[in-house]
Amino acid sequence: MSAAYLLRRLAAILIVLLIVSLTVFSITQILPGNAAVMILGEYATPAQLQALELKLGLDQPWYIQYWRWFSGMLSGDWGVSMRLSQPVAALIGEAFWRSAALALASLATVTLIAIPLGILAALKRGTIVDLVIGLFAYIGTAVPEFVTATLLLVFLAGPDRGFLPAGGFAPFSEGIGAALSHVVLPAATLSLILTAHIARQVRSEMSEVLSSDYIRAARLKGLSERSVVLRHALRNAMAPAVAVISLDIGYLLGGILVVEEVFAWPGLGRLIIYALQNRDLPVIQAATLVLAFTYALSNLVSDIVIARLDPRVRYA
Amino acid sequence: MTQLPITRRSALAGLAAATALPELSLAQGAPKSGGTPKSGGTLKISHPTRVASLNVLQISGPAEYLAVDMLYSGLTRMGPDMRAQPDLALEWSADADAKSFVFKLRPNVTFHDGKPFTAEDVVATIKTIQDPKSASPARTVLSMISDVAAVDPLTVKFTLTSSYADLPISLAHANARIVSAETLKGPLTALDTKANGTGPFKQESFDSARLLKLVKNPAYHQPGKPYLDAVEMHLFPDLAAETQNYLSGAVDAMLEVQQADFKRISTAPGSVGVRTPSGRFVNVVMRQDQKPFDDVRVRRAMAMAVDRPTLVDIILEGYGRPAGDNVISPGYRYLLETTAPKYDPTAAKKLLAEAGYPNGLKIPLICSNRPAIRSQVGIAIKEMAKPAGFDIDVQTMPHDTYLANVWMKGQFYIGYWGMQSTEDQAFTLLFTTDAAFADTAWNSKEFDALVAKGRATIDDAERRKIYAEAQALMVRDVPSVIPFFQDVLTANRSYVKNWVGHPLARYFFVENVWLDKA
Repeated sequence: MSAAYLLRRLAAILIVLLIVSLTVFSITQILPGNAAVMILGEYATPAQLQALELKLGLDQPWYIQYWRWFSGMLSGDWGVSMRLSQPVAALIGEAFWRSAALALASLATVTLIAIPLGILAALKRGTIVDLVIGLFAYIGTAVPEFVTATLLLVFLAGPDRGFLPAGGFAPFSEGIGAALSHVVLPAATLSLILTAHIARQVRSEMSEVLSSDYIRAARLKGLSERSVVLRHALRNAMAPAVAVISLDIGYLLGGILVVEEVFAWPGLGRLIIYALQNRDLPVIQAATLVLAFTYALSNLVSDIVIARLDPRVRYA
Repeated sequence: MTQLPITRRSALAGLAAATALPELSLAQGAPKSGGTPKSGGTLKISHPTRVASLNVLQISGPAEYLAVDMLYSGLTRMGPDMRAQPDLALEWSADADAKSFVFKLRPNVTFHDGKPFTAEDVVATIKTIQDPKSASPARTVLSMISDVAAVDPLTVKFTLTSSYADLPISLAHANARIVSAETLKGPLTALDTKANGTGPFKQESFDSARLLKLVKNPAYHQPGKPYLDAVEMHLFPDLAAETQNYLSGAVDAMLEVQQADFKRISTAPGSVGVRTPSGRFVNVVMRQDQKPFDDVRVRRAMAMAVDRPTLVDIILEGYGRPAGDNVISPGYRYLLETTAPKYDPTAAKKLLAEAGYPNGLKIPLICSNRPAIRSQVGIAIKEMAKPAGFDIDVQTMPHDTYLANVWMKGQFYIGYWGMQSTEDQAFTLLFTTDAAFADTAWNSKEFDALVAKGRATIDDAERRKIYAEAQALMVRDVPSVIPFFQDVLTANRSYVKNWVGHPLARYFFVENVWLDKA
């Protein structure tokens, strides 16, 4: 993989971000409603509204507002949240790390469970084990997060059960136990659908690889089954699985909106929902860009990982 | 176990008369029945919204009202009896025509940063509120103040542009708490995240999405209070998560309970539901500067086409009471008892025909999606009004679209309002010609004159007479259909003592709360 390729990809990411920023900006401009009205609500007088519009620069034409915002984004000044009166960069930074913690916990669970499950199903093709894993995968992909979340809440966090907190977030400063207990249910909800999806993907790739000629050749050479599976088959089956996992990161970002809302996890998803409800434009715009950037970056990383895993894939 | 202390009593004698004295004495320091208060412990309260800001001059959300009520004190405070109580002011007096007021301030009060509280702080706060740049909702409420001056360090004099007998109540406005003059010299945005008040609790940490932690203010001006060592406000965006946390015992009190959950929550083991009658209402706005509502017969037909007791049953689950288009609810001092129009679709149909709609009237009714009660009422009214000849097309839209395109402009839509502190505020909110939100475009010179006269009258009996006339006019002209008044519902674990509901849902008296844990 050449440096030129990487630079090209990074440039492409910047163009994508520019387009996303313009699109988000125009959509927020076209939508009916006015940020000042949303912020002051039904209790503001016209004079108060006018004062706030002036303060927020809402009286300026859209391209001036856009330029002011975009140049600010580039120079690190992401503006101030209209509703929360706090710097957007700080708000998003804090929320982003909380979401990332949740996403990482889910991804870790998924990787630890889904890949072994997929391999097991492929090795036991046609047996009851394969059937059970397949069934789990079908159900897992079919059940939406809000259903999983509600079921988990009722069974594990109900009043008379109360094994786990029914939502909320505790930072590590409040103790590792508290922090972990809060992460279990939302991470489990996010993991279920991804585990099912990735297990299916790994199973199908593994099955294909296992029936290929070179695996037969490896077996004929007299290699141990362990070596055949882990060294020869898995490496080749993983490349497509990594591509799926990176696509799932995009899915994860969407799923987080639902899961954070249900479990009161104060991350990026909840911040976006709050910002949308309150028409907090600086937060909506910056958060969307951060999401787009994360998605583009995760694609890039997955491309690099795939290239490392599969020598046939080389990017000029 | 469900305790409905206020409801039961108020059903007999009316909220003001029955609950005024016990709650008032509570606020003055005498403990309510239920044992001797114990000091200590942390109270955890939950709410399903963010505390977006701690800026006492600007806040407007339910969780924010609780936060600033614990952090700041005002000159006066509204008791649950809807009368102004002393807070930072010990006493006050007015001249004969209610055009100037003198307030005596409480001595030896300090802000959380240790600076002494004086008349200069009051002057600075009021002047800041009056500055349009502060964008404070209290500004309109205090617009009658032409001058405020410190007579001496513990005396403040207010001069008004016109007579206004309710000034002590207006000064109890949630956004009119006293901020130190020194803080106000700095940028006002500093108030957003850092509070420095004279309230019973001091700010410890603030995460607007998650948690607000407060600790006891040992220098609070009421000796021995607060009883609690600390208060935590846990913020959940999701009602289901909030409810589960409360039911599992992770939090001690829910600030706001939805009607649909109230029975389940208040009958859960160890939980107490507190139901407080309030003047909170939904109103069906019928703009009178547009057809067909420029005809009073159409408005009256609409009023008769709404089955109010059924709405209370199905929408409020019984936690409220039917109303008769009069904005003054039983919690106010000068209520004129009127009977709500009876549900009579036949008579309504006849009236509609007289108004020129013999084949009925097809009309869209716009509802915002927040809160859900608006569209619930819309859908129920659509069905109720059908036999009367109203063919209503309910259209629900996102709240921001509603605010931008429909509110204060639309012809026929659903409004939703909290209870106001005084009759005057309730009238001037929506119904006078120059109302802050002249939703209904009801331009009645007669009504305007009565409201102005009532405002300038100190004599209690005279005022009652004037306000009775104003209310009678409102019932006659039906500027909007007000079908019911909705109760304020909260819940707490049974070991939480002295958690009192308030009809305005803006004053909480947490300094009186104590925990009776074994």
